Amino acid sequence: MRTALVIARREILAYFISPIAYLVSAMFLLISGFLFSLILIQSQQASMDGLFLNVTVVLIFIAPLLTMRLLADEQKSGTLEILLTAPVRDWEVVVGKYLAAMALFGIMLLCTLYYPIILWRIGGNPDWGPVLTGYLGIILLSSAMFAIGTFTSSVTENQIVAAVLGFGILLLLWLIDAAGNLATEATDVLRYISLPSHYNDFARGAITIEDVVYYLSVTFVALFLATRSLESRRYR
Amino acid sequence: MSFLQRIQTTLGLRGVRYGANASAMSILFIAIMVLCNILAVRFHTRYDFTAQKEFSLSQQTTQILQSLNQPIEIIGFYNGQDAALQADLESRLKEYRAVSPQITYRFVDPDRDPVAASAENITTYGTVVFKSGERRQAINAIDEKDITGAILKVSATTKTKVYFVTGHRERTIDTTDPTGLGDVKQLLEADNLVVEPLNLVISATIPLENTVVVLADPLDPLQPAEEATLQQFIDQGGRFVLLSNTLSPAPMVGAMAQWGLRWNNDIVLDQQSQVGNPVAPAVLDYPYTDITKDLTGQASVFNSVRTIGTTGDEFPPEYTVYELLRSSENSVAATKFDAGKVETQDSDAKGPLTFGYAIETPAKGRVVVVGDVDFATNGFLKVTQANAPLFRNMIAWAAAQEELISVPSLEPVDRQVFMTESQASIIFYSCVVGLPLLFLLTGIAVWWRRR
Repeated sequence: MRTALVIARREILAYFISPIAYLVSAMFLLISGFLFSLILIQSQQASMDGLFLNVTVVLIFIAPLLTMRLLADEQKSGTLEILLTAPVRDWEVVVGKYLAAMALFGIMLLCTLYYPIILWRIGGNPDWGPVLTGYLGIILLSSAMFAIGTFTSSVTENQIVAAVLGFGILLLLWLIDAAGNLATEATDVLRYISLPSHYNDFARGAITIEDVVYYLSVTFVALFLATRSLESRRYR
Repeated sequence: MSFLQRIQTTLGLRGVRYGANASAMSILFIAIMVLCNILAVRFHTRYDFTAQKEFSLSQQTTQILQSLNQPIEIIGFYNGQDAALQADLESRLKEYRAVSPQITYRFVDPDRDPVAASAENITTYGTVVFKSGERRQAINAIDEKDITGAILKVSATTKTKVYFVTGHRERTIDTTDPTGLGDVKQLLEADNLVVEPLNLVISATIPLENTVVVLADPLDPLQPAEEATLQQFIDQGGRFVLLSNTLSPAPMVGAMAQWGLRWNNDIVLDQQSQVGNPVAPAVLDYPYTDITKDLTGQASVFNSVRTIGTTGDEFPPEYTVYELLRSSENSVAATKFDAGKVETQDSDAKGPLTFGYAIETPAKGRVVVVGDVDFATNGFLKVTQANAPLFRNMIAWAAAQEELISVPSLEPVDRQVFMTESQASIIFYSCVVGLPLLFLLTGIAVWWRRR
């Protein structure tokens, strides 16, 4: 795991010397700041659930953007071969890079703590439980989405292809419960598979174990498949 | 090379062997994850972090669910546009199902399955039907109170009747004026009780089973025969609620003496009453009884209250008497009052003063006595948080339907913020411009330096 953390640290540094991390962060904060202030000024309610539910949609775009280059770039530039011949296990490469993307998103999320501070400063009486669970939910949801992005980045050496593939899978998982209207028999399963359906309880102030298990299992499966995909390069 | 040999060679290739191995491992891994999810759904567990415990079922609902001994099927009729409402109901029903395996639920879209909808006589979207055996109940609300009420209705075999005695200028259940009990009637009917007037001259006997009789502040004295009817009802184990205001003639004096109680001819004055009127004392601190246990800290307000004294040092041993309501320490029981003028004297009893009792009789009957009727009237019932649950709990306890006692309705908490225009502008610009610009400028600086 220490190796994974070393890789993560190297990757975070790489993020911060390229302008893309700043650009994506600025865009994320612009959209979330716009949504927060608009919802607050219009509703006059000291609550963040409206923001949380809307901001999750932004993740469909953010996750592929921040993960697209993780493994694809290394494959294209040929540095992945060097990395794979080093005494590093495949899963450590995958987890290290994934953690770096999560850390960058964590920094963005930290900046959004400015919003609950505003609610507190203007004398609102927010229910802090849903604020905390909302943040926990976003961390879990993003961990699943970033893992999917890491996986798509592992299957191609083209960043754009990785981003489009990631975006496609995320959008599909976002909208899949609508397909339940077409096939009654599969409604429950399709609704369960859908990513946003597991976020509602978090936004409203509850932690349901099945939601936590779902997000963690999507994360593990995606990272597992990314590792397998990387491993397959040794035998191709 | 024969076909068979070619296959053997291909299968022997390292890549194919690896591929098969990797696929098998992936399938196994995914299967384990699917299993974890199935188990998590099967053993539904939810932790509620909201201030009002919006996701948690009340203790009363849990008790009702645990005592269910027959299956109840719940069918929600929602179309695609009501997905959010359906999700809310499903979220709540998961909690019900987690407590009792007798509960099952499903959803039907009336647009896609009109046959099922018409079979249940569904005319509006959002109808929820509860079915148990032959019994059926449909509601159009998804609050815990409504759902639990419907479950009680379909699981109960008979309905309890609450009779309000009439004929002596009592408070009536059919009026909407501030002194009437129209709101109480609605409240009790919402709890699946049947509320009816009772004239003791016409009905000389009162059915004992599933009945509660309320005598609400009679202004004319009861005839001896009527009082005897009530006395007989109580002695045989009847359920009885007796309310009387100051200045009204003291009712059922004989029965009161039997329980070791007597009406005092006084009026409770509380100079620090929360409602600013000394003759309207508020109660915040309740003695612990089955009726009041969930009301601690919630204010109930009374008006023109008379205290209830005891006839001896101890209550008759065959009766179990609980103190139910008492006024604050700042109150006094003024005995000198006339035509709207009240004077306190040094000899007046000082608070806390008891003005309500709950009594269990040897024949397993239950009686509630309160020195006030106004708290249950239309003018007071909804003034404070606790008046309605207090009265409902009295009836529920008397009817021995403790499971009905106050499944609370969640009152919305005010989370409104008040911003000046300049505050709103600062918030908007700092969120939309300030923070993102900070990142953008840093990014440009990094890019510039690297150039």
